[in-house]
Amino acid sequence: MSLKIEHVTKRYGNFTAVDDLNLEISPSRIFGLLGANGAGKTTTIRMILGILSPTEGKITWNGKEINYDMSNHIGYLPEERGLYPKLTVKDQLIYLGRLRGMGKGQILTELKKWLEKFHVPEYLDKKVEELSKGNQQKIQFIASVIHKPSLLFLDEPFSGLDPVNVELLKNAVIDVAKEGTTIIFSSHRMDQVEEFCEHLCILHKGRPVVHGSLREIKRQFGKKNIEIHTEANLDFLQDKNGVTKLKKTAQGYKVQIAEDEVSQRILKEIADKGFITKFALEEPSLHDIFVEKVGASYE
Amino acid sequence: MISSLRKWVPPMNKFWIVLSHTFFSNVKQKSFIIMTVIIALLVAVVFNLPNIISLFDKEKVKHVGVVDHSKQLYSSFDQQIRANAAGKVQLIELADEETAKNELEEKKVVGYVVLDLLQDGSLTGSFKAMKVNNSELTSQLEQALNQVQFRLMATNLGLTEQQAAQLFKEVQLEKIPLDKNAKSEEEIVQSTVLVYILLFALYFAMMMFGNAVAMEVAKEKSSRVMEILISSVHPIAQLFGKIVGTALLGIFQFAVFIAVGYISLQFGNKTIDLGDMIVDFSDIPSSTVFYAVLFFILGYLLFSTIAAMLGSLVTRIEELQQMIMPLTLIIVAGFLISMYGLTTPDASYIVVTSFIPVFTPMIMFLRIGLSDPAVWEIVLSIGILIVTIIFTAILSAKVYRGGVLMYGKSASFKDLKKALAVHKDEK
Repeated sequence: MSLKIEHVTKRYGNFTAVDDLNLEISPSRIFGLLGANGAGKTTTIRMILGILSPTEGKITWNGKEINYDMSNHIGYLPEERGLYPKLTVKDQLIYLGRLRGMGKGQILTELKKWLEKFHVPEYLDKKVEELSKGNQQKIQFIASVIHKPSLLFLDEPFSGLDPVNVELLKNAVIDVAKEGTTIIFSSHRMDQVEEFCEHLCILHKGRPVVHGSLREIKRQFGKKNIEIHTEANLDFLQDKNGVTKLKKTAQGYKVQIAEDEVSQRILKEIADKGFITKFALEEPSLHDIFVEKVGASYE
Repeated sequence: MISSLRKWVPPMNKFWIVLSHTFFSNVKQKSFIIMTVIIALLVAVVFNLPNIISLFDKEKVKHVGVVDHSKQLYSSFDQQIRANAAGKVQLIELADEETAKNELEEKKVVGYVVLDLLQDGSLTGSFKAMKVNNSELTSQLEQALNQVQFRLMATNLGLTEQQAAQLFKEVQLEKIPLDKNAKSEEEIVQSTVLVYILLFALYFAMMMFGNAVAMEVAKEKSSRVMEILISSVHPIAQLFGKIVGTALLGIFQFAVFIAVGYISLQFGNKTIDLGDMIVDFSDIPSSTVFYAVLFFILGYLLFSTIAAMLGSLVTRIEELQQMIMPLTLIIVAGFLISMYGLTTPDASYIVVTSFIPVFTPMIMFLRIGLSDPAVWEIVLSIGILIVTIIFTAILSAKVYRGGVLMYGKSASFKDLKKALAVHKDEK
């Protein structure tokens, strides 16, 4: 019961969108698929969905190659949202649900449950074009999960939503995952990925530059951050051994260090430089890792 | 082999879902309902035209004054008018032009004729009225006066009534076709009108429903709903579900029109009088109707597969019209050629174009309706058409698969090559 991507390469003419990608995604997990714009995420997702075929390599779900016979077990929330603007929520979901192999009665029961869950039962007979963007997104989300897929793709599921609705949708995603759906989550919001995904992969120019469990990735990255709040001038830290980056912030400094021990040396050195309100050793954020791994090649 | 076959035989159940969605979501649409009702009303009006005209135009007898200066022409003029246009025109003899003008102002007469007899025995007359735009009336008067003059001349020349009649006897050129299969003159008039009407319907239907398919595809693509659709239905099941669904929509709409027409016929006259052409609708050859339906289906399939392909290449709806312009022009060209061909269905350019697949639906239909093409010609042209449809269907399925995933800034035929390249990569 897992999704295996083995030596997958996709070329468009001379352009290689995905280059020898190997991934194994265990079931009932939320897997983060990250990458800068144009890194090959959409191509990878489309290949897993079976819309595109890999030039080389093989993608299997539970040991079988993915094709249209499996589409009833796959859910997809594309980054570019799209619904029929002139159709009512009900007609829309009935059509999309039937295309995923559901019966009409079943669709209506599920749809009402979901609308209830999102506190918008009155939208059942409304046309999609009459809804706000955020609410259209809820409908789009329902369309991707209504058939209880075993494999679900969420591409930027929370973009454009207000914080209350983000919470609502986050909880819904977690509920879906609890029911045993394997979710592939793609986003540029690193904080959201950290919140959801135990495993992830960062693609860069069609190749995975980071791959594994979040904890392992952070451990391997090695570098940590020190957050210092002070009024004193600590610019001299820039030249210290073990300091890889120094950034001035509103409250003081953010220091990136190569190893844990460096923090203790710094603490001693700055103790008499002024009044320090905060000194904290922090795990590297996924944001830092992403910027470093992907950004490195731009420099 | 089996896997390549699988590609072309996608799961049928989803084909039916797409088909029924295409049909029912459109049938429920207000614009579709309004359009159907308007055209149905139009059909009802056309078929009841004679009834409606007679309802408004209860032909009143037109009174025409006559001022006869010679004092000897009135009685024969009156006699002639009674013979030619009894119940339509009624003459009244008036003393002089003064009286006539008064009568005209009081609307007792619609106009008056002033008659003079010349020295040489010929007649001269003038018709005076407020407006002289009723050509039917003036030609009736003119005809009657001519006949009066003939008779007068004949008498002057000393001819007997019988001799005069012989002199003015018109030649009746009867047109008799020697080819047993050829159509008689009456049949030709009858079928020309019928073919004209059906050609127009064919043109209209192919244009409208071809456009509708392109529109459906472009709408789904521009609203980005395509991305979800394509992840749940095989593009080929989707494409043909849409094409067949729209075809049913067209057939349904025309069935409504035909039903309305049929019911109207039961109430009204079974014939339509178009001036000198009389069309008898109770006597439509069933083969003509059969070919009209056949050519509609084939023509529609040809144009809708091309239209769907073009629709899949545009990113925004606004680009669609520009994209399908060449297709539209081809349909218009076919229609224009067929209009020229109405009077010359055996011309060589008609024969040649009837074998060109994009023109076959209209022009072979024209030939079948008005001329007498050999069976092998009909079979050959339909054969070429079907082969072309299969070819465009395969091509458009290929382009569609790649096209629906491509979003670019402007649509062009270069995209066609790109879309095909995307398809080629797919197994």
